[in-house]
Amino acid sequence: MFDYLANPTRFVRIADVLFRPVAILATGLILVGLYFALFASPADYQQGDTVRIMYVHVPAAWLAVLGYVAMGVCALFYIVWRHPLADIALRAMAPVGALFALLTLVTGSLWGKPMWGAWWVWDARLTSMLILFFFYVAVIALANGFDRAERGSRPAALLALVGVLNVPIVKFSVDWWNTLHQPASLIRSGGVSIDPSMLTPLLFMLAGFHLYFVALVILRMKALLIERRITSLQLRQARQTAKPVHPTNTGPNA
Amino acid sequence: MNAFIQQIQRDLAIAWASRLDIGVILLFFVIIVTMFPLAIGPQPEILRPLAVPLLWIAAFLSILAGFDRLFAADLRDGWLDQVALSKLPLFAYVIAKAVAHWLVSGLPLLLAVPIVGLLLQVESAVLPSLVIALLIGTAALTLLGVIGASLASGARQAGGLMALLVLPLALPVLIFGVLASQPEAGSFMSPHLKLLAAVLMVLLAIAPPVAAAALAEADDDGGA
Amino acid sequence: MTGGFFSMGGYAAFIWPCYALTAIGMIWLAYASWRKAKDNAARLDALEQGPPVDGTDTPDAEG
Repeated sequence: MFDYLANPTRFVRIADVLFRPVAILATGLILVGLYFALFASPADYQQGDTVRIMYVHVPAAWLAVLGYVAMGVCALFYIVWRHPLADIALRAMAPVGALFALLTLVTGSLWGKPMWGAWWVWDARLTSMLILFFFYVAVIALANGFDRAERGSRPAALLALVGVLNVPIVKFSVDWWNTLHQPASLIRSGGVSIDPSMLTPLLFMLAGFHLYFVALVILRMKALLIERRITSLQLRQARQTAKPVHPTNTGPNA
Repeated sequence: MNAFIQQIQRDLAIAWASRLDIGVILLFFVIIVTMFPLAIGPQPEILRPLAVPLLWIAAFLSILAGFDRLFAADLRDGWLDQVALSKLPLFAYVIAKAVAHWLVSGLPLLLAVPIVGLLLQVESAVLPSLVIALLIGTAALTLLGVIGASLASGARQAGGLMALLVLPLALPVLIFGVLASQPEAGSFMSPHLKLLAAVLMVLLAIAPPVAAAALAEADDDGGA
Repeated sequence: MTGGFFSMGGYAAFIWPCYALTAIGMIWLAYASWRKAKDNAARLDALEQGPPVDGTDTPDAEG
């Protein structure tokens, strides 16, 4: 299947076909999820209505991590198997995953204030997510940090691979740090016993967020592929309309 | 093996030729350490528990400052092409660069820690485990710098980009390192130290191939 | 919609900004991505119908 999709023109055609249904389905699932989350589900026995924040916080956190793993897989395809669309996929996924990481932090903070009394607490999960956000920003900055646009693909892919290997290390080290520094922790890291009536909104939002991710990645990949085509067309047209050779025109760019 | 040693010797000779630069790293270390009491206040009771963590942070930042010169010169003056043509495999070249860089940046810091630590009222009982943990930690950080410098070669804002790449990856090293520096049981062989060493092993495995791949690309692209 | 719904058991100040910020973030990224795709497609169309290639014997500089 990945070989089939490797042709950019074919991918753009497939993307055009897939995008609208995926986007509509995503929107539908999220809307249904919102209905359940805000209306048709009960408040929690202990946390009251703040449990409703979980319905955006948990899906966002899940997608943030999944997004980074997906980026790592793309990086693998790019570095090892040289799949022609893998770096485009990686570039497309990074901002979406980064957004989810940021939303996780923001919603986690808004959840934490009523629960624990502080806008930010250094609990293991939020701290790990903060570091994951840094990892995302690093990949995005590296991918776009070169004058020649495509030059950033390989370093960004290598960094994503290094990052994916490091995510478990970071998670472990933060958990380690957290348990050592807070032996008698009064902070229950968001452990909510899931009542079946709470599962419904959670699953709908989770599914909706997944499809949102897919839709946006398809959209961004299409935009990037078109951008590449534009660049190569511009190069070709520049060559075809180039003036006759002058001594000062030759040689590598200064 | 010969070429490997020669690469290290070359870098050491170059560093020795501008040995004042080593002094700059040390001075940077001292200045950062000085900033902490100035910001926090001079009371020993406050500084002493913070001494070890602050020394770690200062050491990290000092070493970080030297990373962008890791590969830049070799890329610019074509030495990397020579290496590519020679019998020295690129990943071995990378390890040699890391060793030389650590000898020039990490080792002086290690030797300075007992003295500079005085500025933060560090307890002398802690010094042996601190130095051993820093030994492993600075080595790990050097490998991270190798990764960061090679990935960012040729980028527009290579220095800032490198810091952005290296520091998040360095956080586990910081966590384990500080814990390993102040073991409870007295002996320095704590589980924290073992974890720190494990991270170093992982970095030893991934830094050379990653950096080699990144440098090959940077070299193809026409150097720094 | 009763006042009770909006006050969310007193936690309104946390829950509503939460959902609002999430919605704003996701909608903004979706719009920006869609915008970029649309703009790029327009630029591509302009290029593909673009300045006609010179059909006369202008020597190709690249050789």
